[in-house]
Amino acid sequence: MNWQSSFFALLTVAASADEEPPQPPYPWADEIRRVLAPPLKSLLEPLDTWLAGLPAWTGPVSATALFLAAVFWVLLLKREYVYLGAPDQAIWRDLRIWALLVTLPYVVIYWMF
Amino acid sequence: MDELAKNLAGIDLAIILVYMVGVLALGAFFGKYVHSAGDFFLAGKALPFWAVGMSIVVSDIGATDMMAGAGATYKYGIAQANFDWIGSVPATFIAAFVFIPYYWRAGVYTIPEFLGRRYNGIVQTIMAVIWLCFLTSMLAIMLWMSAKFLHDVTGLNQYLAVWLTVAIVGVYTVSGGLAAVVMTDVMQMIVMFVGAAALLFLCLWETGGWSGMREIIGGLGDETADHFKLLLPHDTTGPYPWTGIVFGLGIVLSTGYFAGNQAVVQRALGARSEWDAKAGMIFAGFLKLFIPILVFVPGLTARALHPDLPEPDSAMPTLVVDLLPPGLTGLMVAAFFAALMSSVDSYLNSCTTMFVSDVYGPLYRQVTRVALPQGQGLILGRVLTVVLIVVAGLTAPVIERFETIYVAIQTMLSLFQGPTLAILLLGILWSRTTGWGAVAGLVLGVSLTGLLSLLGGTLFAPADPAQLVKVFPSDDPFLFISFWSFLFSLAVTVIVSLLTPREPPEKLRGLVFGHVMKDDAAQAVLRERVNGS
Repeated sequence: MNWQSSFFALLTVAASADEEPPQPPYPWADEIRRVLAPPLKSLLEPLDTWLAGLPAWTGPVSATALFLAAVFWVLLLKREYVYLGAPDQAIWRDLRIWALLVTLPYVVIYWMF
Repeated sequence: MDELAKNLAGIDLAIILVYMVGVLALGAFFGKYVHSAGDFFLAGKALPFWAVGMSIVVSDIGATDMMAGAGATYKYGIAQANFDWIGSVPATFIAAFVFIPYYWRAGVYTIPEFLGRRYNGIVQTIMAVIWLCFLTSMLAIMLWMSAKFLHDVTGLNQYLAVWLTVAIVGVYTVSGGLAAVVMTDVMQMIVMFVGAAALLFLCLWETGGWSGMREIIGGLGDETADHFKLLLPHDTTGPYPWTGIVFGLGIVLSTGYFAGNQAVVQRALGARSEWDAKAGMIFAGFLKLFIPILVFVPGLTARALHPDLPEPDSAMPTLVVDLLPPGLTGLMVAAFFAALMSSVDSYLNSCTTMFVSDVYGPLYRQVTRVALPQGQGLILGRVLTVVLIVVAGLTAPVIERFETIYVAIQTMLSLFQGPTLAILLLGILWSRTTGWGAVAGLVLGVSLTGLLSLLGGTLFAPADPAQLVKVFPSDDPFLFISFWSFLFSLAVTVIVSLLTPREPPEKLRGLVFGHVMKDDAAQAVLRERVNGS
């Protein structure tokens, strides 16, 4: 779990432990939102509408494409770069193979769920 | 909870005691290998890949994460697992093959130090200050939140939990530095995995296996209809739409985390070779595969067995009380302590490293015109470790009263994630990137992130959320904000760099793709740095 999710997790814990303090008013922030939020929303809306209309398989396919793109990039790295600093040239030290093996279960999981 | 507290006797207490004595002994053992600041902060550059990988993973999981992760799964389903799955690969690959080699060859201790060498002192100072604020405040928060959790689960006195952790972590971190932190992390990871695996087995047993669990949760109605979907539609009402997960988390936030988080990178910098540093990162990506299974299956089990819990975060404690027999309860409590200690020790060590490398070191050099001697760095590191952990212990009980301060610090750090990745990436890949380009990309990128967070309602939220114009599809738009701020910072850094004079080639030597030092030269720099000669 990376720190962003830890951050929200901590907030959840804090919020569940005590009553939430009353939210102070920020009139200047409300004013900025009043002026800038509508144009930004209209700017992003076409993109949101398009993304929301994509078929359900787009998500898993995009995730899988990300995994595969990463592993193909690693497979294209030069052997010398991958082995740099290794005490020997044993096949098990080839980090390109590691990357391939690590990616496979992720692809299977994202394809299944 | 009282029922569990009563169960914590005999064999459970023995297991917890053995675990704590073991951690203390192992950590203290490494003290005899620490003779210089390089030994203390970078473990003498002797860490094998498996220790680096295990330490990276276990440092990331705190006791509160175990509880909140299960709670979020209880509420939203397996989509929560994305933070460990697509949040690890491809990020660990990019960190391993793009970032880590350059940090490693530069012979730096910290990321701000790298940014200082690549760009200038302004970028180094901004990054160091923000990270120091974050790490120091997190120490106290983690101690108190975890102690609170341990109190809820075991009935253990909160103050006792805090000071027990302070004493044990303090002793081994002061004595053995990064080597002790990493090696105890290895032991703590084993304890965590064994404890969590025991709970996982009992969870699956109680629900009739994975298919039984799916059947029970599927029968709970519309609210749990998406509980077994990893990627939810773009217009989902939940916080994790697939677009945010793939682009915001998978590309920006996770890469920023593995390449830009001092606590993570420091382990790789302590590796015994560049190969071990890269392999450690990839190994961490592999181990991350198991975290959701161990932490989040209990959340689903709680949903199946107790669908009406008043608080999702009580999912894990409820299961521990319900399912674990004596003996395994002690193991699970030891696992919670392991999660807590492994996070606290990492933050503590990273904090002292940054203070010495990015604050005191540059000041010393400016005043005396010579580099900080290794011996002095070691003493300072040890003294600071004691001071920080004691202050964290003292302030832990009161930190809750200043919730707005630590929320502000956390929010501030979250604003830096996208822009930091942008300047790190350009700094390594494009020699034309200049110091002024980086300063502009960082400052304007953070400003845009702040503005988007404000518009999205996560900063200075309106008193009435109903008044909010929904700019982003998700209620928690941080995934989208990080992506847009990353792209914006990239653009600003490129434009300003092109408008400002080039950096001299000698400054870029070894720090930028295409200007890589020959390996022998890189090794000589590292040896010189580590040995202090």
